[in-house]
Amino acid sequence: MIEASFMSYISLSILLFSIGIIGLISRKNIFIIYMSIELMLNAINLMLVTLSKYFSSMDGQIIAMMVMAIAASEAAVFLSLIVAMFRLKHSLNIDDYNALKQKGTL
Amino acid sequence: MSSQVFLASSIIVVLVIAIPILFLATGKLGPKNKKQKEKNISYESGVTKSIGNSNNPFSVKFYLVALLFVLFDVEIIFMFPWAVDVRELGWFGIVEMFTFMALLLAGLIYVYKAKALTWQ
Amino acid sequence: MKYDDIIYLLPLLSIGVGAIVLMLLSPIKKFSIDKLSWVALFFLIVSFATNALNFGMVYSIAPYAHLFSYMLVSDTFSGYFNSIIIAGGIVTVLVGTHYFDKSNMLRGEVFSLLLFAVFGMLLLVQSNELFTSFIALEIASISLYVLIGFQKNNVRRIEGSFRYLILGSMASIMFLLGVTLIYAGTKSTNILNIASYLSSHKTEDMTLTIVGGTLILITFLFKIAAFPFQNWSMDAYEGAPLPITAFMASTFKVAIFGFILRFVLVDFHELKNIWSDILFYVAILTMIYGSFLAIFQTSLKRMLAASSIVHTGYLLIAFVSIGSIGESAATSIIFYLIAYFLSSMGAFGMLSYIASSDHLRVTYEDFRGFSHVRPYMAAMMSIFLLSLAGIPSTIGFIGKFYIFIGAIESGYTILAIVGILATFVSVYYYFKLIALMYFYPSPEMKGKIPPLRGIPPLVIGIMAILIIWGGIGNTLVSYFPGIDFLIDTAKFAYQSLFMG
Repeated sequence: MIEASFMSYISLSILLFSIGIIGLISRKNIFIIYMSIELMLNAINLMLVTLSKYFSSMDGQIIAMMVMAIAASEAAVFLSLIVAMFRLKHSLNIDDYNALKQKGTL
Repeated sequence: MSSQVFLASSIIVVLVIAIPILFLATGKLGPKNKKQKEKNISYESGVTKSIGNSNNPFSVKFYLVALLFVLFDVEIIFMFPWAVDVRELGWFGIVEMFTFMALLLAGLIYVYKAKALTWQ
Repeated sequence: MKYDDIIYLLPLLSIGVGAIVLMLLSPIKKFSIDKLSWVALFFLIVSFATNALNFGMVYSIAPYAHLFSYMLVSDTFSGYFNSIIIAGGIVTVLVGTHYFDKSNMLRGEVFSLLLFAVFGMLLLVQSNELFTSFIALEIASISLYVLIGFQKNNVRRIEGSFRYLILGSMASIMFLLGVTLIYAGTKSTNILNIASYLSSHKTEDMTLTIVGGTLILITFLFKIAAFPFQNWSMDAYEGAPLPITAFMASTFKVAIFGFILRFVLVDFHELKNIWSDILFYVAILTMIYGSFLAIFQTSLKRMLAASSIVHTGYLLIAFVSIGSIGESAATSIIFYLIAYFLSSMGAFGMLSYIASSDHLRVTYEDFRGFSHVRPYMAAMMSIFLLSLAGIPSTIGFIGKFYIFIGAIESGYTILAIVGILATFVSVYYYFKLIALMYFYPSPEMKGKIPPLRGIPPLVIGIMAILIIWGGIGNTLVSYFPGIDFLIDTAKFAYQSLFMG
């Protein structure tokens, strides 16, 4: 049986974070982009809680709770913007939102 | 920089540049999604002529209630660890938590006044 | 518990109370936007006054240290940046109320969100701990995301807000990862504890901290729109309503610089040569790319947005040349932030006032012969553009002068040369507007020039006078504070970081 050591938690956290970044960059559905952002935040939560256990100090766990509160407020703003955008264009594909693109932008 | 750090960072740079290029290239080279009207009609087995539109106009009230639930649920999350040790924190802990709750109560009063909770 | 520490927290508290009071007052229909703006102004002025009280401190003090466990700090450095940020809020409220009144899509909650953004920025400058600064950064950023996209029916605003939102969230999360890695490396997130850890350990133990610091630096480069990350700023500045663009472009950059200067100067001043090479190239490429973007724009808002990218390049020149050689580089960056704030807030505020009192003029061609139609506005706009370009006898010139001197003193002569070349190029796109305004006949009917009414022209006139006064200096009136006062205050602010 594989023993769960400190490094395995950290590498899981980094792996989730990189999956989140790759999802943010390359997916076209707005909801998937938002889920990638939440995935990144939760990966950092995992890393913070692991570090708190390793150093035997409470700092990391308190920070992890605050990060959850910030993730909730960002969810509020993000989802409201998605609702507002959907009402205007009825599309969930970010390729359709190019009102600000100008001809000849570098 | 030592040679190992240089090797590691150059591998990372190559991966960072190669992976998004791979993603974008497979998107461009792959099959294009041709939108045809027939592919998007709603499916019901046996019925060929569909009556009415299935996308009803969605009122935003559901979304608002869900969103407010999430925010006040996070407030309750903060109240759980405080409630475990409230006796040892004494009067100071109570005043602290009630200040936090008062700020969120101000938010709730705003939501009520702005008529976001009326169902009709 | 010391009860008179509250005076150090009063600027923050008054803005916080004001934001909540405004939030509760805004759904009441009786309060029009005018009355709400007076309430917002009251709280902002109270905060400015209480900030001026603790301006002259020679050391850093942590108010309620045991209660907040050393998370907040109050010294001259934070007082200096606080006054710039609150002044930015005051000017936005004064100039922007006219705009918000005319476009009746924006409701009273704008002032509450604006005060929340100011609160976040004040907390950012006053934070002594990395995670507090993350919370403050999120408060300010989320308020700005909502402020940009406030008109739901306008596709451009919503889209500008959305682009800023996605990229800004990614940058904030990278900041959080950097904080986590620093916590992993040094077992603490307090800036002073990190400084004592870094000065007592050898360099090989500090890999995690350096990687964490690099991630924080990347977020910093993102938020100030430096070279690889500058595309969001063009879209966000163009999509936002004009007073909000003024607020974002001037005040938010000042706040971010305030935090990063504290972080880098207190913690990483020995390790800065790890990042010097990268920041060197980032500064050069920012200036070159920003100049290229600004030359080819036809819309005035986008040109000003691209020119603010070039100004970020100038600030990065000073940031690279901070070292142990002279302290003039650190002083010059703190001083140039005031010059940049005045000129940029003035330029965008002027555009907003023109849009609200006249009609919306978007491109260069709309300004043809503008000085014959509205001479006062054309003159003010010219003063702000001259200060942005760095023409002598404006405060922008003295700021750039000190930056280039600081760069040459630290040995980065190439940066100074690229900066001067970028200033040459910037004269083109600024003077194109001045020439179009003054030297061409106007296609509009020249009737009677309508008189200027209201507060915004007064505020803009005061800012223009400050710019010229800052450029001329102390030589005119010997007892009145002039340019030397500002430079001494900047030097004092820099020195107060290290004591206490």
